[in-house]
Amino acid sequence: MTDEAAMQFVAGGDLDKAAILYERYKRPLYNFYLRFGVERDSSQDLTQQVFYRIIHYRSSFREGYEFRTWIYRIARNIYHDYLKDHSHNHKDLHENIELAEEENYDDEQYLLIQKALKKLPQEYQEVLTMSRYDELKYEEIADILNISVSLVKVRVHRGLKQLKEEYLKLN
Amino acid sequence: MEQLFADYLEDKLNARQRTELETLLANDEALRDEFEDLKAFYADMQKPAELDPTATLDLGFYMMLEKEKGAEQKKKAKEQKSQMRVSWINSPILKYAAGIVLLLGIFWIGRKTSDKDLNDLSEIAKIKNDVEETKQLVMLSMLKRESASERIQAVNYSYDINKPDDEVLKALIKTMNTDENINVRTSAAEALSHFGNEKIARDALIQTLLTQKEPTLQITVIDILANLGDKRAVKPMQKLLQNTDTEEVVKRKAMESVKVLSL
Repeated sequence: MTDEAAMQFVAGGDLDKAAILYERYKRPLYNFYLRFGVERDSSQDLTQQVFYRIIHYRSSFREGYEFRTWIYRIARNIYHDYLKDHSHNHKDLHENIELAEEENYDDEQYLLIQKALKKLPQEYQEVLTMSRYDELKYEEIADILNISVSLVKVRVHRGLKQLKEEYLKLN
Repeated sequence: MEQLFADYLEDKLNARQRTELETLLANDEALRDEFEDLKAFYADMQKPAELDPTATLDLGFYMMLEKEKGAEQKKKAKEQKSQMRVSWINSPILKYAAGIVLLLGIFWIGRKTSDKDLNDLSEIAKIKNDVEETKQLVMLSMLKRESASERIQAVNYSYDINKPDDEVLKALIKTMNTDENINVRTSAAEALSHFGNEKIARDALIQTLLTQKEPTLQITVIDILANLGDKRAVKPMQKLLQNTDTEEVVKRKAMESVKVLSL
């Protein structure tokens, strides 16, 4: 059963089909948040919130929607809400992100790239993370961010250039 | 150049674009160096090994799902009730039934006025019984319709029958086991759960666990049996758990219900 078919069932009131989607997406979404530097416990909370919203707002899923894009758009909105909630203490948030990443990953090269990535503007961080780590296509990223595909490509190129500069500074 | 580079990374360049990129790079050494640098850097951005969420996430999700299902069922029951009211009123067979009731009512009033010793209560009971029988007839006849939605409506009529006879229960059981449409089968199982005090209904629900292969129906029946608290359901649920063909979602539900029933 495709994601879209399962979600159509959920939208029609057959909520058990939500379990199929949960089993498919719980790991990618949990790692989506971890890669943005969210702590493990909070990543689980945010992942749970994604599924809560999907079930609660199930009737807003329309035929023709691509489920993967839809769920990542919700995931991203939740991440932005999380950032807003923690923005009053930006310094602590940054320190927590670094600590969480060191706790979650032991690959030094990856950690260094992540550190450099955090120095980039948010719009570059997002496209690079979604494209490289979440393996989303440019068209999907464009849909999630509600921007044109051309702009995604521009951000990938410029973001990568800046990332390399930041990485070299840290190295 | 930015577009071409991004497409190159995703390996999406067509022959014309590839030639265009190669020409650009061949004519500009600085651009070529930058291109090679970024390409190598991008390749170094390896995706880290993914981590698994803990069982707490599963627990939270499935608890939330159960809660939402409860709310959905309440909503559906409310809708069905109001729909049933409307459809009973509009049903031609019901109009016929209403005619019978009216005639019986007139007959009853006539008898009452002519014979003061008539037992009022038994007459009312008889009228009620006639109505009940008519409802059952309507339901049984509609279960034979070709349209799945009409068969679901027929199944829903059973909610309005207080004491179904064996024929009605057997029809619901047959529908649950053999109807070609999964939604009709699931509706029949849900309807049977309303008659959980009838042994024939409980037996059929237990039996169907061993034969049904559709996860939606399996989960519905597991839920019903757990709510009915029939411990005889533990064995077929354990069989489902041992069966390699059983879907994970169903196994999880069976495991939870076995725990509940074994308390």
